[in-house]
Amino acid sequence: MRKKRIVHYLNQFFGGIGAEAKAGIPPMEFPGPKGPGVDIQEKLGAEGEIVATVICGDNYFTENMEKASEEVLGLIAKHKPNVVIAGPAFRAGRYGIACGRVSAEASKRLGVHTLTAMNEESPGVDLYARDTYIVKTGSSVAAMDDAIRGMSRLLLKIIREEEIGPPSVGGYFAKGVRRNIFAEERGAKRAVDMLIRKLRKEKFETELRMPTFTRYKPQPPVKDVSKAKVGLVTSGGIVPKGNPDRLEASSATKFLEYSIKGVQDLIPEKWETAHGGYDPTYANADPDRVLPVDVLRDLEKEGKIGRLHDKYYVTVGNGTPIRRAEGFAREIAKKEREAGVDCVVVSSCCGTCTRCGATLAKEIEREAQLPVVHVTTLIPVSRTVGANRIVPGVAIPHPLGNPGLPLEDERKLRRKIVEEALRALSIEIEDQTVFRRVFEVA
Amino acid sequence: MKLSEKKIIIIGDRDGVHGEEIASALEKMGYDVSYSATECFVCTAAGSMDFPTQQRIAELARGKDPSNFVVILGVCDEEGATVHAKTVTSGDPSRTGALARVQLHLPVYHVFEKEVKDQIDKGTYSQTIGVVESSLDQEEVKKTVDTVRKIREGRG
Repeated sequence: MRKKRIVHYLNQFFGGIGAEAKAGIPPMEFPGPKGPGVDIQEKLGAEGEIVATVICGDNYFTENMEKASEEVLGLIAKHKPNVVIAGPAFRAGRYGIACGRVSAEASKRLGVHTLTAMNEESPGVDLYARDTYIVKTGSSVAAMDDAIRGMSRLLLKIIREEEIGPPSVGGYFAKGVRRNIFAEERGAKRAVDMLIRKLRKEKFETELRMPTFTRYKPQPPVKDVSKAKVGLVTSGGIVPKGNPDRLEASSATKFLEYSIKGVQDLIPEKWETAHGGYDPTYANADPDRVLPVDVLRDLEKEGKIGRLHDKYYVTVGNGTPIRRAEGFAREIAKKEREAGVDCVVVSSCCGTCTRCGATLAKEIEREAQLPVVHVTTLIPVSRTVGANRIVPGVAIPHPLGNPGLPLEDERKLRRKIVEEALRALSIEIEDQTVFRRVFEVA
Repeated sequence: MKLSEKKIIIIGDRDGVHGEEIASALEKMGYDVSYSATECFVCTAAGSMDFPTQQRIAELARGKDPSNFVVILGVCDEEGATVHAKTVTSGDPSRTGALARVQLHLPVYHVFEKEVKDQIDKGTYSQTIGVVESSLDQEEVKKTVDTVRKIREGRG
């Protein structure tokens, strides 16, 4: 049997180039296996060969997915692989999205078998589980051994052209494929058995999975933004300098309320980000790039909005489980409601952060019955989770800014994005709507 | 384990006890702190230890007698503790950094462990490290400390 040719996709960290500071690097290729690929190769033995590793920065990939996947696919295709593998990405949100997209595109366009691996909390699962095998992993590299074992096992089955089996046997997320099988018992009996097990609080497996994300109807718009009280919420971790309440850099257990009474501009001497999910350089240099207080104050002075609510709410969305984010949203909604807020702007940065922010947006909207707009760069994640009004942000570490511009131009850009967000809040929509991208894509 | 006889490597954590907090408590006692870093859970790296930190530890301890060293952790969750402790014993779990496939087998402790705590001035401890310790979920603290101990004893 001829050795199967495998190409492995990794992000800039697992490719050995660097962490957040290198997340912007374009795709590149290396011969042979790298990082976790070395271990996968060991498990494959003579049956398959990782002929090349393609590496791309997580921000480069997710900020411009069309272009990046085109480039990555080009590099992969050159090696004429039989199988394309990606990851494991664990709970790294952007990495999971990239692994899912690369695998899905390779399946579709190269007609090859693909597999990747990540944690259930990765937005990559929500987006791509139907298009590729995604092996289930733990949330961090602590689970690397199991991830390598799981990926190698499935990869060997693919190489040997063996039966993969259902998700529970293959250790992957359900692909939404239904197969007819001969069951031993009839449906009615299976249903009653399941009910009994449920009542006894025993484990049971449903035969009909419900979609994970619930959708809610968009709330009506604000009647007159120039009279509205605008609330600000972020999953991007902007806190007073020194992070006095020790908001966690990942898997936050809380949201916090801070006063911005009298604050005209978030200056780096007084504010910073506590977020561990993106390169903090730009947000620390100017926190308005994540939480746009400066331009909202301008708009307030000019009478374009009624007023900015003097308190804002913040968490770190990095790795925050959906259920926890829903809990935060319920409490925040109550506070916004009590404060007489008329509409809310939510901003997010990285992958799991956007997942958290979109959850905040849709749950605050439902709970407080107020229109909410979500500003983020990762539109596909926000759409999948179900934010109703979405406005495109500039980049993961600075959704509301561009450090490449002179300060004055950057502030104009931020104002344009915020104005678009306010427009989104004042328009009646039937369904989820992605609003205008008000800037040029780099 | 006597801290006064060891070269000490500190790996603190931004969501737990910071490296500087541990370093200043140990330096007050006159111990030899060779290196101190504060790690932060980096999403893109799925929680791996930073490359520069791994590089520095490799330079300090590779090829040396591990019993001359002690590594003290400040991370306050089980998962982070697993990654940090494994990196300095059986090698970087990400398979990517300078300590990938490098087994240093350094003796690793958590700063909350009695063996360490008892060798720090009580007043200093309670004013700095103890403040963090008491603010945490005690069950998670216990799990974290147990994880470090298990990995140190080769059971993790």
